[in-house]
Amino acid sequence: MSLPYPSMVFVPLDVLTAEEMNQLVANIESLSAGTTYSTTETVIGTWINGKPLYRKVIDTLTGTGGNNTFNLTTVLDANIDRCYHLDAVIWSSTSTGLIPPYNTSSQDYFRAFVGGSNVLSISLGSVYTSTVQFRCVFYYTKTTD
Amino acid sequence: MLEIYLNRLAVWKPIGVDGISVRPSPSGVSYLTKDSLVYKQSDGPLYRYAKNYEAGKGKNRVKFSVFLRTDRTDDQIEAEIDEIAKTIPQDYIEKAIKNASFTNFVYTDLYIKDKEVL
Repeated sequence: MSLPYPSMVFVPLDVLTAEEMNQLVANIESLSAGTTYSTTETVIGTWINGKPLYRKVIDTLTGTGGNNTFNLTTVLDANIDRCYHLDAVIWSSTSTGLIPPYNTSSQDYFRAFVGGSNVLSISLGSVYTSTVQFRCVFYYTKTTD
Repeated sequence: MLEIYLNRLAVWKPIGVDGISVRPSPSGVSYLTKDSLVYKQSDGPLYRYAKNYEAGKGKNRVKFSVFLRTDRTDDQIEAEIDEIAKTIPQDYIEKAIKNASFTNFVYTDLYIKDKEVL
């Protein structure tokens, strides 16, 4: 969690100024905001390698199956280091919503991977013959940290 | 012991940052001095200095902090605290950090120089 005022240090007998009280409140509010899912990139913690761990909700993406792969540079930075977790729901005109991967066959896959140019991409299996929409929550680190 | 003693070093648990931490307090703070048990009131800010140190070797190595309040503002304070911190006995440090909380710390009998002495 990245706090607005991460370097606040207090020892016994310190008297807080009004400004420091405000900074403490800002830190508390920031901690609370960490549980709010947002379409804005949010630091939610520190990964085991010490890098900030980000979370971002992509509200609605549209894609076509048939083994298509498409990158997400329009909605995510092109400096993704690793994507550690992905929650998603996918739907089409004939389904009300499926949580992938709902089938492990080669046709029904829903894959997310970080390509060589640090771009996060998604590919859809051949069963998705029509246009589908999906909503994702990505958890990732960045090369810039 | 929750009184403020001017220039007196206290031992506490490690603080959240390495390196020296300095913060001013508002004026009007009541404090005691080494030579007088009569409270005085600061007519300007007192500065709180705090810094982490380590003591002991191997498995007995412990991290702790030293803090104090002073009316001094010269740039010799950190070096002076560094020197004095080396002389704090380890068993004293271990005892201090074992029970450390925001209402529980241990004053040493060690002081930095008074402003008037410099």
